[in-house]
Amino acid sequence: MESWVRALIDIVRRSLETNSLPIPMDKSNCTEWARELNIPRGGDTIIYTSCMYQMAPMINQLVPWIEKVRGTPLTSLAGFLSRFAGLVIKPNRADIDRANNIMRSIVKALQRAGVSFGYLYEDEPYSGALLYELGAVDQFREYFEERVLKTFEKYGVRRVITIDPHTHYVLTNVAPKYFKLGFEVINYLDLLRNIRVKPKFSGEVVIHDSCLYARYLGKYDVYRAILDNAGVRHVEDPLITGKDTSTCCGGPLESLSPGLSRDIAKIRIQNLARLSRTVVTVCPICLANLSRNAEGAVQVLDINEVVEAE
Amino acid sequence: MEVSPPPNWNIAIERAKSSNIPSVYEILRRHPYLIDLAKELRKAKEEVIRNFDYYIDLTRKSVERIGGRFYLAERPEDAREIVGKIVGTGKIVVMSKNNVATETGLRQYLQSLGNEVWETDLGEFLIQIANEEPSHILAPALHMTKERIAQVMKERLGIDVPPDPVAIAQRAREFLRDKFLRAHVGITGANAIAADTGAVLLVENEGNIRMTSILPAVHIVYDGIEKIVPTLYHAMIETLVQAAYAGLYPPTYVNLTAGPSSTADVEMFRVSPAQGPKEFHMVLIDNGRRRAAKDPVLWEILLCIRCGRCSMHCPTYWAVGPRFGKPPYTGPMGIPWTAVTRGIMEAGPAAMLCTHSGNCKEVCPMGIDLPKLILHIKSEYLRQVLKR
Repeated sequence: MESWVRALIDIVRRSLETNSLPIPMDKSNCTEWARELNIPRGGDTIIYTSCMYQMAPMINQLVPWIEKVRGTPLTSLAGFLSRFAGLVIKPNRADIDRANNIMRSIVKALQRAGVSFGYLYEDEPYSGALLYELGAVDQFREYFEERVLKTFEKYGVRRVITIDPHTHYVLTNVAPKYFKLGFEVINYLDLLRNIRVKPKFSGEVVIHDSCLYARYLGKYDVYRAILDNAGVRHVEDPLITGKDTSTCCGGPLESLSPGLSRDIAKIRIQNLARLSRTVVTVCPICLANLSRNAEGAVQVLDINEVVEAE
Repeated sequence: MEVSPPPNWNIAIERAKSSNIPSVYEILRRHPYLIDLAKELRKAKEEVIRNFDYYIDLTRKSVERIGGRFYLAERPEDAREIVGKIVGTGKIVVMSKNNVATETGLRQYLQSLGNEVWETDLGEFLIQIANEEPSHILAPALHMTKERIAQVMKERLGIDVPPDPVAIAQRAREFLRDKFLRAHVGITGANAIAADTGAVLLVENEGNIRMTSILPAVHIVYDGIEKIVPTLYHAMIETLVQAAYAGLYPPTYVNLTAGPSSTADVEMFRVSPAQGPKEFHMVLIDNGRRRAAKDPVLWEILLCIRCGRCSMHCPTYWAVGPRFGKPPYTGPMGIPWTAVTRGIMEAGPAAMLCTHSGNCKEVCPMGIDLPKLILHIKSEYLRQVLKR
């Protein structure tokens, strides 16, 4: 465990230094969705993607690679290899297009909600969530202060709209423990909840809760209300989709212990499949990890692929 | 290094989950006062943790007042030696399930002194004869399927038994009944210890604790200092809350023991013993607990009442079982307990496997913020690892 943990944190830190992302990936993938949308650069209010949806396609390619490298003598070379991984491993084009479509759908919803916002494009920093979740708290604090806070200060950001639970959790529950944040944080689901939405999908679904949204951020009812507003029927079972009982997709362990991450995903998929063949996720990490392990038992869709702003 | 569960774990845990999880929800729905009792208990336990020395001293005085002997052991070896001196050698010792005995290696120590020592809780008995480690804080043989149990009883004790829970319980009862009747010493743990009276409360369903604490001439209570609660009233509450959140409510038996047995039936003169033990000893162990009480994060685990519900709701535990933690302390509560009793470096590798799904915190009767404690252990562990 020790040597792999060291190697992994080393990869994450080196990667953050070189391309400002926790994984070796071409940073241009983060901003591709915004082409031709004419979103202003910077501004009082910004959408903060933290490149989470955009990284998912690359994560799907990387995890099997990590599984191979882990536990082999290559571990000691992990830092070295990580720099080349970005050149060798390429995300799947269909996955990229899918992530970009989800991003555009979110933007459209925000516009319908009457919010005007900017975007930091290639200057947008990653939140540092992975460092914190791995337990590298000191490294997280250093990173967050240096990269996230300074960038937001430089752009004079006063209001941040988050679109994923990990980034939202970092900004509302973690960073304020260490820093005084000069900006307000809003989650896009709270905006989406108050606008007219329509279904993009016909049929019953089961919701796979994000652990963070459901149990740490009090949003268990928010995305349910959005599906209700769109008239999408979601099957519930108190022992599978309850606030206490809905469990992890395995995502947080995908880098540290890919095998365990997969086992956890499979247990979750098995339980969800008892309720519906269509699983709706509200987090890009859940989307990636469940999809990668679904093996045809269920289809996994992001909430933005199931409902859209009218 | 990937982590894998014991053989047949997925079958065993699925069976356990499907019976235990709905039971607890049903018990709480049927008896909603238990939720209030749990809140009241948390406050009482916080009071003791904040003032450990005071309550340990109060417990000592109360135990001595009721005719018992009290011992406080700093380290595992101290605790073992105290018990070793009470027991001596060449004795038959019966034990009821006791995580602190596992924490401190008590059974093996007493065996090494030349005693015949038997676990009498069915689950603990099964892992004793299989020579395995416990896999769940409350159901130590959770990882063993009935098929495997039948096989172990045949191989280790020569007992023929079909893979049927009823038959397994029957054969174990026959085997252990003889040990109970011949035992010199009975060692139990404690669900709660009342500082105001020195009374010990133990909750159970099998009846083995009652026999362990009554039949032999000597009864030793062996547990951690965190079992102390201010009064007998709180101790009663703890037994009810623990049983309910473990999914076994009402518990079949609640045992209250306050000193050696006695009678005043002859001329109203109180003499000891009567039918029960003539000696009552209480050995409480610190082993990192008072240090933890002062830790701004880890202190909270001392509230744990060992119901094991967090494990039943933990996705990592579902996947790898007792490999998530270090026996006897496995599952979400096991990570901080391992840190308290064995240190951060022992708890760290398991802590890294936590997905912070947060179910454990939601279902904990004491509302312990387990994900926060585990993250703290991760970060302290990484500080050490990254320094090397």
